[in-house]
Amino acid sequence: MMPILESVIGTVLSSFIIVIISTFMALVLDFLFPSFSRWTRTFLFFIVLTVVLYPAYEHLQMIRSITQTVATMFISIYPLLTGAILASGGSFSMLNFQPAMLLFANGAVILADKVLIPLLSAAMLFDIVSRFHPQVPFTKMADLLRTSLIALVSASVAAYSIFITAGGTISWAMTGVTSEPIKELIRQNIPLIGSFMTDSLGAIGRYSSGASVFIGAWLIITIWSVALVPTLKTLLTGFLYRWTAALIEPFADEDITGILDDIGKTLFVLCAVSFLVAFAFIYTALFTVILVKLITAVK
Amino acid sequence: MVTLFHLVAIYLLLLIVSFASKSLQPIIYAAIFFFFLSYVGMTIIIPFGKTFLDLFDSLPGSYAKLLIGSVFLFYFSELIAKHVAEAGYESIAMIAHVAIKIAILSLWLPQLSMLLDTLSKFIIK
Amino acid sequence: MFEFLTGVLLITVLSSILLLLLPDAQEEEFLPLVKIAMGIWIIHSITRIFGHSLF
Repeated sequence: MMPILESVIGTVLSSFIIVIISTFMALVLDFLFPSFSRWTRTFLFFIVLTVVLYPAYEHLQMIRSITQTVATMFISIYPLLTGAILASGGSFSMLNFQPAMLLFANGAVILADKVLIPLLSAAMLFDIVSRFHPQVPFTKMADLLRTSLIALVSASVAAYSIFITAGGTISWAMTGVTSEPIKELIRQNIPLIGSFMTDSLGAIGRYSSGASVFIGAWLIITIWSVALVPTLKTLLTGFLYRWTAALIEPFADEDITGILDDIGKTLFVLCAVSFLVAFAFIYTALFTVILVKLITAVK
Repeated sequence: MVTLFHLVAIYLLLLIVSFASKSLQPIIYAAIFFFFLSYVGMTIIIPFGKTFLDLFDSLPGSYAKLLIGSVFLFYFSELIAKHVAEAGYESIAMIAHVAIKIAILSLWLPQLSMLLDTLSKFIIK
Repeated sequence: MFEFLTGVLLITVLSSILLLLLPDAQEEEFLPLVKIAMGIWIIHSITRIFGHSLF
């Protein structure tokens, strides 16, 4: 956990420090030459934009490349998988792995690649434009894009959950008295996507506890961490953006804190998207592993 | 109360001067302005600033001293600049005002440089 | 932590009283200096509170 935290802080801290220093510079200039303040605001805006946008853009790019990898992985193994499923016949009926769900999961990945991430960058662009030129606002458009993205993503995860609960009686090992308070805590404390996170985590967990009968727990943990590390990084970065906005609000320009806050919000939504991708990845990986195990066991 | 009475007296004096000799009025006005300013500063503003400073003594660092000092400096410079501008020398007043502002900022400079030091440590790391 | 909060409170009270004394037109002009003071105080306190884990 700590190395992730350190690497995330290391990538964004210096840009936030530059933001703070340039804010102080702008304050000094404002004090000396009040009539120049509109120019100062514009220059400050550009500095902040160039510095702050890059880490967010990097995250967007990272999630996008992961999505593409998962999609190509699926497309390349799907014919093999269907062939193997046909060959193995009835041995799948005892599991709750439906091939249709595999198709569905990876359809969601392709959706994320083609629709969700471009929409998210559009939302970010609209936010910046409306901050830069408040007379021509696009705030409603950006909010609409974000909320509809969240709706799409949570609908897909709900569909997954239905698939899983319909296919088997396996329940998440952690559901019960112990996990409910934790879920409630996450739901209330992570803005926008908290309840979505608990739902999808519950779905993933429910699923893998069923799979752990067939494959070792360590493999599941490996797959989990591989899939969830980018998501966690994105979540942390989003939080850092919002923390910095809160920290510099007393002395910085309203637009700058607004931009940091907006980027943080967008990163939260990106985190939701990457949860979806992680879910699909976990599903596909577990499916493949179990299939390989079954085939080798039959032989 | 006393200051108000002084103000009325000065106003009457200025009226008499403008009635007596029009050409002497600007210089007498300027002299009375500076005299009145120094009087008010000595008797009211500086004692008030000192008690104010004691009030916020518990503020750590030298923030209270810096803030109060710079606000009085700023206000005096603004007053004098306005007076000069009223006499018709607006551009000179502006230059002086900017110079005073830079002086105020140079009071803050140690704090600012300390801040930049701590911040740049983070960047280098 | 407590020192930080008292500092924020005192700077706020002090600067608001000082701005009360200034005329309206100069209030806008003086505001950046108050913001600088607040910013320096916040950054210093934060580095003092979390400094041991960052350096």
